[in-house]
Amino acid sequence: MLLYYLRLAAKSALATPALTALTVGAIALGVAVPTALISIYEVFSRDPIPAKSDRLFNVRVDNWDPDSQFFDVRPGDPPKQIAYRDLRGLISSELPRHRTGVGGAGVFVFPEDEKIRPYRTIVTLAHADFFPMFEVPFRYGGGWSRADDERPARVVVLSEEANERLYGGADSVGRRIRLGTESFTIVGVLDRYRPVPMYYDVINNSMGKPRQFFVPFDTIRETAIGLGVAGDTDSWGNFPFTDPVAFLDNAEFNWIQYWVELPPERVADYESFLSSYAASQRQLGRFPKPDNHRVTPLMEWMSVREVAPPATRGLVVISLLFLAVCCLNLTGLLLGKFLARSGVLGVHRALGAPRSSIFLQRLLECELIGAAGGLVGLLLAAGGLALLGRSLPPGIGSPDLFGANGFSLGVALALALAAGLVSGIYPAWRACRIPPAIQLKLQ
Amino acid sequence: MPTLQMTEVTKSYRTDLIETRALNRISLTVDEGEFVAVSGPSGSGKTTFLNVVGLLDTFESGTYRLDGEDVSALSDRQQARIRNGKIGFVFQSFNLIPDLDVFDNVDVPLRYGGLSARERKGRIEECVARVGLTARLHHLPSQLSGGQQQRVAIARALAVRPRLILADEPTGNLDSATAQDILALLHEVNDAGTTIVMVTHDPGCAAHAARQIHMLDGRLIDVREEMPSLAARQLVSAPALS
Repeated sequence: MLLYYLRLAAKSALATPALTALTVGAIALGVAVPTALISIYEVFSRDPIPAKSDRLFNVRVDNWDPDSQFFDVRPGDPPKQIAYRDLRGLISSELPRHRTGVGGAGVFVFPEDEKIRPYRTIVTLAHADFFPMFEVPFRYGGGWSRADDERPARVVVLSEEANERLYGGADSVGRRIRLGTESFTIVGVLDRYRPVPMYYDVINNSMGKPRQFFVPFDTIRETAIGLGVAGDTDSWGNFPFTDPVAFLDNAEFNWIQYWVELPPERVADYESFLSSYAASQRQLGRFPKPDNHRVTPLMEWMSVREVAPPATRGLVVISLLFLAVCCLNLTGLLLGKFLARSGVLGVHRALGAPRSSIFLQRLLECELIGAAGGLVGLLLAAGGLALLGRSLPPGIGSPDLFGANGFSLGVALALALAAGLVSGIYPAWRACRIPPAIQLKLQ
Repeated sequence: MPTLQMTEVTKSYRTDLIETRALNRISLTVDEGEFVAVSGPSGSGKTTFLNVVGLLDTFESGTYRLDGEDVSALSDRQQARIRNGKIGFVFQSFNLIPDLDVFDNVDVPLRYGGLSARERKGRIEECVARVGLTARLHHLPSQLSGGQQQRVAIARALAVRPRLILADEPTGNLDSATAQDILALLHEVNDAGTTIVMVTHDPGCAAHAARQIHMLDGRLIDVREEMPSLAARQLVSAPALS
């Protein structure tokens, strides 16, 4: 019977095409805005690596000035990144299954193909564990070894985009490319890899694409290469910058995000290690504050860093209020339509339809209109998201960052059906309450 | 057993200023297979009477038994079930659903009756053939003449095999030749055993019924029993012509 009612509802909707178009348009507009905003919020707040996000932890220690609170974190928290000398201290722990620092460094790339002009880029400095830890997919070759970290070897992993640009997408493993002053051997080429958000570097590049080159972290020490620290940096104290390596090794200069992969039950052990490390640093005259470290699970870290801007939530609420206004208007339109078609409802009543059937038929008509409005609204939202993606500066996002997907479709349909239901209940109730004798008079 | 039995049924319409008694203690029995015409001037209560008989409207007091069942105080769902199973309606303005073709219009009461698809199809084809419109099965009402639309309405009323057909001015919107066709069709239906109660203001149309009832100021007067005395009263109270 439900299918029959749906068919009747569709015929009733098509019987007044102009009014139906108006109501579909009202729902579409009302649905498009929150769908777009909720889709954006979802992109910002989605779990980028669901299979192991509970085992990935961001690690921070507090090397900051005892006389001031670090500014860009929650009150009482240590700084958002760690210093190079702490990276070297923490990396020695074998407790984590995997561990890596993540930093950025600017360098000139000199392509093998002389037709491609040299260009400046930011490479990701990482450790060998970066690739298995973050389940980075490879098209050709693979990552480098921990031994390569130690040397550090002149090896590089290319992104799919860089390999396309420099080698036309061919297998470039084994070829050499000059970064700065030195030649690096390509050991791997990534497959399509676009974590959203880019969780391992939310400080510098949360919505951007992965960098085009990945090199062993300690190449930053090889000053001759010409790698220069890039990205968000914080420092205190007044260590002179006369020798770059000495500066890296000694200055309270925070620019590295540090990640470990741990079973959750080993976190307490790891925190003990951090306390011991802090104590050892205190003996060296560092870490003047009481022991203050954080081992923050990935999803909590994204929340701490407000990867999903709080303003987005406010905008979602405002857009839902806009949808509510659309629903109110829709209620008026539907009420007018149902009362105008009262005679037809009277005929149905005379032929044996109870009030509940009339109510259900009218409600289904509202839901049909809602679903149509939801689909149109989804198209509008997809257009808006595409425009937004295209208008973002390259450093902040990319054209394919936002877009309609299954989630958007679900949101649009859920909002539209809810809008149809909310808007339709009163008109449907009014329509079914009119005595059939009165309805037939209106025929 | 009578098809319709009303005792002292009263129905009023109230506004802030005035109360109008549309049905004034009406008592009426219609036996199975009868063809009854109810006539009367505008405002006499004919349509209200038909609405109450058809369970399309409520009444305040009295009792009403339809096909032996007391229907005075049924729920909305029970009333709908009885309307669907026992009563067929034929309206002056046909009241076909404009978005549905002939097949689907006749299908409506059968759907509410919960019949199987095969049974519905059989009944629709049978009833549409009975009113001579098989060739128009998939035409919309707007593609049919008035007479054809009323035939479809009769087919729709017959589809549920009702005990009672209520016809409200069934020829009111038709030319005289078509009206005769419709009346002949109603006669055929009545001859097959279905009780018909027809409201009309047309004496010629009313004359087709075996039993005529007059309605005046919310009261029923069975012409067969009371016409002589009513006529006498009306003559006495009529103003003198100048």
